[in-house]
Amino acid sequence: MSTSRIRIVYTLTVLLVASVAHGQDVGTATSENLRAVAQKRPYSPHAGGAVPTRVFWGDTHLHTSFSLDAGAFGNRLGLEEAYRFARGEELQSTSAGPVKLARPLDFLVIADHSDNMGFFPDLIAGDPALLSDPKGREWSERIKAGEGVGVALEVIDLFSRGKIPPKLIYYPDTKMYRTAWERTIQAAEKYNEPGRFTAFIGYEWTSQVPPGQNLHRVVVYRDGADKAKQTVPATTYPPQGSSDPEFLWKLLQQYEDKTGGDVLAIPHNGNLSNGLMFPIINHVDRKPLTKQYATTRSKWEPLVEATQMKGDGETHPFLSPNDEFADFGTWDKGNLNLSELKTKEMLQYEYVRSALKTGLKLQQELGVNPYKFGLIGSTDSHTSLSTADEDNFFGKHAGSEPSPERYAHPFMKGSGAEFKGWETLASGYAAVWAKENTREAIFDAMERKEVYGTTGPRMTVRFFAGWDFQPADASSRQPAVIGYQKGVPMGGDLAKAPQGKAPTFLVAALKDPIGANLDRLQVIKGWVDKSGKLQERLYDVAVSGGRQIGADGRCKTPVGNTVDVKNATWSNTIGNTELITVWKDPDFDPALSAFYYLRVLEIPTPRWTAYDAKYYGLKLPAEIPLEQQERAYTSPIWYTP
Amino acid sequence: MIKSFLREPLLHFIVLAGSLFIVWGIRNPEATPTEPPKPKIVVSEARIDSLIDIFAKVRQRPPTGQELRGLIDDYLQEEILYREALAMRLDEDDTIVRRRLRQKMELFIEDITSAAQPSEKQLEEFLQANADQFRVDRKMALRQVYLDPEKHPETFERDVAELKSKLNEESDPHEYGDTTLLPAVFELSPLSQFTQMFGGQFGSEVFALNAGQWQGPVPSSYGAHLVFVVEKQEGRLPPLEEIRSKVELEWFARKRVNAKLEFYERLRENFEIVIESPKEVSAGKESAL
Repeated sequence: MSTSRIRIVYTLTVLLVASVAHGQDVGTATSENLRAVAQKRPYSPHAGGAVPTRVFWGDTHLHTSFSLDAGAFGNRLGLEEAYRFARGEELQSTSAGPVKLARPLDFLVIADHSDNMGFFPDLIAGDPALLSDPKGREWSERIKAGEGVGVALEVIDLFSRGKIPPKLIYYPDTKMYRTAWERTIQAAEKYNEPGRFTAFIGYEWTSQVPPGQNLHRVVVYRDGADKAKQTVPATTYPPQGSSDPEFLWKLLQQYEDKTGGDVLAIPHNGNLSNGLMFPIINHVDRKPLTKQYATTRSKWEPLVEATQMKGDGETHPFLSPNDEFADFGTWDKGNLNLSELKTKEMLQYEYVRSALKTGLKLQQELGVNPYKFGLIGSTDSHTSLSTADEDNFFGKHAGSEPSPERYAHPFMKGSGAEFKGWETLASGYAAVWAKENTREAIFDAMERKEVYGTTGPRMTVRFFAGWDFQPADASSRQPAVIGYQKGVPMGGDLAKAPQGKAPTFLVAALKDPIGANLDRLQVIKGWVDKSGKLQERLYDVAVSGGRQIGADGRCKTPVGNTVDVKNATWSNTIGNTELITVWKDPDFDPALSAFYYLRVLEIPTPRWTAYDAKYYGLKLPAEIPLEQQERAYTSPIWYTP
Repeated sequence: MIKSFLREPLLHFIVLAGSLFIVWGIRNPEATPTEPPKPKIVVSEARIDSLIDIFAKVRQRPPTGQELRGLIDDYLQEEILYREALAMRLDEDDTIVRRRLRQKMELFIEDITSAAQPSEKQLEEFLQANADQFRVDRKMALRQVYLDPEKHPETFERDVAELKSKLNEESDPHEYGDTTLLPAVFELSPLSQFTQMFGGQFGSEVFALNAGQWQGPVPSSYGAHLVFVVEKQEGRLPPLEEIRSKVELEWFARKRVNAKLEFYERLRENFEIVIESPKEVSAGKESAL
């Protein structure tokens, strides 16, 4: 078939689609009626925007030198550098030489702490008051002619001699100040390039409930500068601010009411909240959560950052004793500043798996599930460098950029406990199934939770649930098309089981094209049993290398290990490049509400500490892990009877 | 003798006058000429407006009377402690304060140099001088069919050949090949996207093939692919009007870096700099970086 014929067919198809009412129906892709399908959907799955066909990668949580703590650690890379780096450019890091990502990111949220954002005078606004002064006018003209440096030097000179014209003296209470928030917005606008790179406007609301319980949230805007700059970020210090999450949600509501905009908030590091992140008792009034709280929270917080540099938050070995992969990047010594140690009773209110379970229970009690959230990963890096690759990890802050000593640096100390440098994780990224790379499309995908998180690698992951997936669907040429047609994607809902049916799942993962092979796919199910108790169960649903899954739904044979720690390498001689299957819940009870999410495990690979040891020729203490199995967590799919 | 002395009127006068002077001095401490005047803090109307404005931008409503009093009290407290801290020179050895101020100076010079708009000629010259940076990547539109070598252990070559001829008769790639999550059809996309999705040299290897027929297999990180190149577009340097905003962005970025450097160097000229040699240089420690 010639190229021109293809074009004609394509054009015809597009015309046919245009004459059909909507592009919503993605058609039936079984081979028997493929010809009929051609009349329902365009030849190209990209056309018409019916379903997302591409996963976009990003970081929703990056700090630059604009964050006070990042600046204090010596980070000198600002907003523009952060965007340039994420887009794939090479930069000079603050302390460890040149740095570049293996692959660019598709989107970025710079989330500097909203408290303590600096001010700076803006001498060049062209303010008539300034221009009425001869010196002001002269400066303005010279600045516009490109002689800014000369003017700046003159300003400094006049100041130091006390000779600055009174009209040109600026005070923080005059309009000549430009806030850091305006700069943040401006930088996002500059680097946002629809179709190629999305720069979201955002900030971090850094709520720390005394003595140091982490309730931080990142706020992300769907909007551009016109709306975002009508307000300033919520802060946590009284009298303007508050550390109560309900305060934040109120402000988000007011923002939307005022501007018609759209924002969401993403909590992170429940593991450092000492039991406050996913509570059943509101810490503010010490009363059980109300329906109002549940409704508001589920409205503003559709996602949780489940993995990042300060620990992985999926689950904890104490909470999931039957999950041999649960102890990954566990940070459970205390709260954020280690002013209070952790007790076991706190754990269930800190990790996403148990929070998802708590949510089901609260739904029964309150009628609303406050913890119905999707999962992503992000870095929380304070270096302006969004690095989550083990072989290219630039640390948590400028002081922990690569160096022979960084593994031993204390990260936080207190109450007789300590987090050491080596404990930080080179994690993670957010993956978003969106129709295109724009603020709107990616934000909308976040709101519908069609997202997943990884600890760094970029594997492609699909997770669909429906009532009629057949084993043959897993061997179809275009599994995702069938997935959308017969089911709902990750983040979706199943309601009312048809008589005698159990949920079926189409699950698939493709390895990172430059990363490690896959070990296995696991479905994690959580539910409330008949007696009201919370339950969870792990099923291995697809395993590599021809291993067997037992009648109990588990494969206890490890995938093996090819890691050469000394040389910090591994080989893809074990595991599979792709795993796909259809799985049916064997223990389904249509009367009980449940959730399901997919966990993807890679084969073992070297940890960043192994790359450090090799590069610097270090002999690291035995307590430091040098290899690990990286992973992805999808947003759950909920079944509600 | 003493008795008569005590009766002396002059003594009475001196004692009386002296004690009066002392009492007056205790009662009127301000009159001591050595005391400086108190420094004044004026919470100006503009300052109050600004406190109200910031509050309103956060809270989406103006403060109540009580809240405003709270804001002013808080401001006063901050101002007083701030001034006293400066007087005690607490800022001087504080790394955070120093870094913050340095950052403010850098932002100051950024602001002041970013106001000058480049001329048409400057942009054109910048574009030509940095052509590589603005060249648009090669693009192609593609269909692909995936083959998993593990699923054809004995018959891979035969299966590939059969599939290729079948595809060349009827080219819908949705119907053939092994299961994969990789899309079967790609619209015109930059080569970098293929590299990102398939790994290795896949993009450039496919680009080297002729358009208009099924070819391959081409290896990727996942296995082998039969490919049909629908369209190819060579890389090119777009004219200024097509990429003006991008060129401007880069022009400003370059200018920002240069201005900071120039600013620093010019300021440095104002100082006589003495660097004493450290007692002991730990040699070789930095070599790894």
